Amino acid sequence: MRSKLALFLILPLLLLTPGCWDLQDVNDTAFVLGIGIDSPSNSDTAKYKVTFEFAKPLSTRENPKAQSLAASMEADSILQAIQRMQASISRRISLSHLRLVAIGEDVARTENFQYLTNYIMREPDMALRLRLVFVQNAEARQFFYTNPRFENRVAAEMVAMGMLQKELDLNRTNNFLDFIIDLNRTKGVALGSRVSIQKGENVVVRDGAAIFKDWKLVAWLSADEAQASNWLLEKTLAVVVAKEKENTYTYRVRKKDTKFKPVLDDGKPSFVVAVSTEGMVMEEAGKDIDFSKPENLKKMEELFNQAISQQVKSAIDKSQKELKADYLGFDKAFQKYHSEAFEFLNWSEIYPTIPIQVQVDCKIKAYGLHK
Amino acid sequence: MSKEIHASEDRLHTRALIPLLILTIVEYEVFTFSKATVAAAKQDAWLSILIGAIIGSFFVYLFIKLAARFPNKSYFQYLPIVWGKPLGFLISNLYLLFWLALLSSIFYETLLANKMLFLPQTPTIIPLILFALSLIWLVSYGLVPMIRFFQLLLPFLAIPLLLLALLFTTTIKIDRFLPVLESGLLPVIKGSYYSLGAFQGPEVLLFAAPFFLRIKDGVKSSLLAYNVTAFFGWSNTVAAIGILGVQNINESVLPGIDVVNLVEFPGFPVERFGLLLTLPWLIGIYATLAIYLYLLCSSTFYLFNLRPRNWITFFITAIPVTIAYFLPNEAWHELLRLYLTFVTVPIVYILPVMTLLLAVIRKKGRST
Amino acid sequence: MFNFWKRNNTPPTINNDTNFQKVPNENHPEGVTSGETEITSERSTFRNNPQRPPIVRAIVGDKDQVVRGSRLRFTEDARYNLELLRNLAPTSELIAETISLGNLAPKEVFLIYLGNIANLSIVAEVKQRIKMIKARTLYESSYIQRNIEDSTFSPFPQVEASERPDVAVSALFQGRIVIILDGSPNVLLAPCTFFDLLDTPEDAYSRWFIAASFFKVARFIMLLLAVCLPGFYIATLSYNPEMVPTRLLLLILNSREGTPFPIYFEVFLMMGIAEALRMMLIRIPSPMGTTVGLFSGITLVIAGLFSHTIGSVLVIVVTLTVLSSFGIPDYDLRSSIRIIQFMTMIISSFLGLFGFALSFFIICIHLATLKSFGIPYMAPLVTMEIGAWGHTLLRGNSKEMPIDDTYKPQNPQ
Repeated sequence: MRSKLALFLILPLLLLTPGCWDLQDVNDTAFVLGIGIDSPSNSDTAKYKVTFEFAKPLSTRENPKAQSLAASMEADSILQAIQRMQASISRRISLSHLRLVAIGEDVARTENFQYLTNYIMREPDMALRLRLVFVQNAEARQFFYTNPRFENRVAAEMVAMGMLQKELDLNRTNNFLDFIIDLNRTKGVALGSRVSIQKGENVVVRDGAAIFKDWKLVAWLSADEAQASNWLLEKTLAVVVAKEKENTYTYRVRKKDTKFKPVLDDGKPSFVVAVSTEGMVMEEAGKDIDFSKPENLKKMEELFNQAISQQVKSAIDKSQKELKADYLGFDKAFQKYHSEAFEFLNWSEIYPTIPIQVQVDCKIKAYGLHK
Repeated sequence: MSKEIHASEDRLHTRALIPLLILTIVEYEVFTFSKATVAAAKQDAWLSILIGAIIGSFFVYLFIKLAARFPNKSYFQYLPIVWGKPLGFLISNLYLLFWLALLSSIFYETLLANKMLFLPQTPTIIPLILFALSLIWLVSYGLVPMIRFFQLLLPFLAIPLLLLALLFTTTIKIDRFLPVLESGLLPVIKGSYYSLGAFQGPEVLLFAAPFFLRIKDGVKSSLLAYNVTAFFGWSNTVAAIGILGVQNINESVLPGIDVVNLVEFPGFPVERFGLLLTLPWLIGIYATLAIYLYLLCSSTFYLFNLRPRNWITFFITAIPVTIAYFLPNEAWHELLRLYLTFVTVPIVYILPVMTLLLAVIRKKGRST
Repeated sequence: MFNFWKRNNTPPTINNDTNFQKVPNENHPEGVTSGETEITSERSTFRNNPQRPPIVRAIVGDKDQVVRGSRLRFTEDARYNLELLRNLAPTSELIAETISLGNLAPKEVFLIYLGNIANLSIVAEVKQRIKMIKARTLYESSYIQRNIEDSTFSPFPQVEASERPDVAVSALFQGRIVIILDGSPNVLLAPCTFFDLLDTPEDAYSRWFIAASFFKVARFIMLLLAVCLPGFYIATLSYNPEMVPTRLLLLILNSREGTPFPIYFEVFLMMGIAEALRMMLIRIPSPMGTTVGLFSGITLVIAGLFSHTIGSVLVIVVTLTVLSSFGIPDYDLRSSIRIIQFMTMIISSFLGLFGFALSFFIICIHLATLKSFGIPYMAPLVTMEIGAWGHTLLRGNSKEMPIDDTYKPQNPQ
């Protein structure tokens, strides 16, 4: 009987000894939804300037605009910035719901990307399903002060914009983890997302792409150039505008399929890129063409073939000749088919000189409700 | 806790082998699915696990054959009969040491998971002690209530894991698996060895055999259980390679949790599904700890002819808890795990098969 | 050592003293009966003439309301209850034994079972335990219930109590024993398993088996919710908020902004208020009773929400918990589940998700090791008789009443 009693007394006591070290009420926590990294104003005292976007919970009576709070801090490392930020925030900072990482242009051009984001990879609290954007011509700090149009907070807006991946071909969507995997595979070459702040209005535009080479940012792709690259990279919806004399025709691509065919003849690789698309003609401005005749459709298809192959060629030229960095995935395709030969090639050296042929096959399936 | 079972006591149906085996084998590998496999075979690790599962199933079949030769005896009782008394005693002690090391490793993993995920600031001894106390309570009831307990927990383990396997299919990128068989077949075979090394558990059925009705009929159930567990490990590995990528797996400490936090579900763009993994993991760990603790305690009582006393159980439990608590850091634990993975295939798989061969050769036991 | 709540009983043996044989009728030829049964008691032997008892309909304040099924209920008269059973189960195998308990004011206790179906060793065990009861008198069958159980410390009842004759008759045909105490309308059904407690007569009387199975599964889910939900809420929000989806978390943050209490305190407060409301609803006199109760509850909640004393998500959680706990048909189990909720909440407040899992394991260990008169408490789920799952976990599509072996002797062959 006594032993039972002893057991009964010890167990609850054991339970009470913790004293709830870990009890952290959820309203006493400041959740960081987005992080922006910039170059510091004075590079002698600090390495980075880190901007935090906090989620500010509202009681019903307060101003609905005050949903998030942005603040910046300069420090030598991200963790140190968090510590210094904590000194002016009354709730414990938690990065467990981080959703967005925005990196400013100046720090992306100068710092190795791996060092920038090392903390994010190590922290056990964080999930790696983050959106990654690079801010052009502005500081990441300014990015967090823009007015989101639909959502309450900038981070939520970026997350939602990232969901539009299938519908928009004017931008490049590459999540944080995929970006890092690309960088690791090609030793420093990858294509990331770009945002810029629209001049005049305090609104964010997400289009184009950011090109990384040697782990640092080197160039930007505009919206049209990103659309051209997306023929090779993504399976998004695309809109092609083709001009013939004064007539403009618009073609909506529903399905596109790109195949890389690597050809290896005695140690020299070359590629044939076959793009096949399927879609509808949705707009015509100019001469009225009767689409119910198959030969007219054939002419349209030829027109769009030319327009698309021009776009693809310009994208390949930009990657090969101008930037000399393979961010379009040619190395992956080559490795898939000729992995032994790939071991011996120095891809970054020979890439600018590889002959690449483009073949485009357009199909027009329908033309809307109007003949 | 005598191992001889009277015919009047009730025996378990062989279907109860399913929860026993599943819950015994599933433990840490839900989280790490033997990183050694991925390190050895890179993106062909899924092939290694498949090969490992086939080989393992064959071994499990042989285990049932061995258990059927000595119907009312547990493994340690017929080891001396087959191998001779001194060698049998030695082998039994080898098993005891193995279990001790395994228990320390699993306790350390509980500690690690608490430190990183659940209770970062609580002194780690407290969750360890609470687990240990409740485990001693469960162990003191014997094997049959423990199997009943496992049966209760099985749906809570299986359903989230199956749900996860479904969710993975939406997010996996196939091109991370290519090129297939890049470095040839040898790394795949090495990976199979490591993946077999992560599946410690089938030997439990040799010890639980006396508690079942007719162990001969248990072939289907045990094979089903083993392959279900292999499926869980396989789906987690496939998801990790497809979602996380081989390099990140090698660099990450708990790749399983990283993978699950990356899964994307329509309508939940950036949410994490870590909860679907942590609860089954806790169940798997608890069940594995329980069964190995039971085996350790009851075998100690049997081998050294001690009378089952409570303070001895406490003492035996305290040893792996202390080892886990005083293990210096994660690097040592990785080393311990590597040794355990290495040593599992000989001790867990090959030794009983050698026992079976010897028993057939020396004509011991009932042949079926 | 840890079996400190086990009874120190001798193992069950067939007690050959008690005469459980049928005593043949003097006026009828052997073996032929017409619904008459002999009642042997240790005091005297007499024969009863069967009479149809008066039919009593629809009792007010019935806690076991049914849509379909008989509305007869047991009453305080033991002879009436016995006659009711005899009329509902007119078989010659029905055996009733009388034991007299209480040394100051003795009361009659009837033990009823079917001779060809019941497990005789269990009958003997029940009889032995009843005989060991020492009391001056017994007013309610719960005295017997507490004294014959395997473990009084356990929150789960190992003997079922019911007021319905059809439940009692179905228990008889399962092989269980019905215990009637003179002066108590609640009869005891021994032994019982966890799934008997969660069983309702609607499951058996519904026409379509898929609907009945669905409702059964819904009841299991409600049981889980009732036990786990407040503890889970506290554990995730206080210790691991990263497990909650972001939008939901931001919503909860908005709802709790400005409230003075931490999460665990709020949950305890609301659960305490729910308990107080429940107590009030039992005691307040009608006709205004329910209305006053309703209004006070609603007013409390609305005032709390408006003044930002409690959060709105919390009200959802607590109401859902209270609702789910009413999905459990048995009254004893329901009260126990309420207390187990509190235990889970306390452990979760201290140790977060880990503590929540630990409390879940402790409850499961207890359920797995509990026995009711030698039958494992979680049979047939746990003894892996898949044939029996058809009418325990789900309801099978059988045209006949299912026959299960849960209460049969456990030895094979």
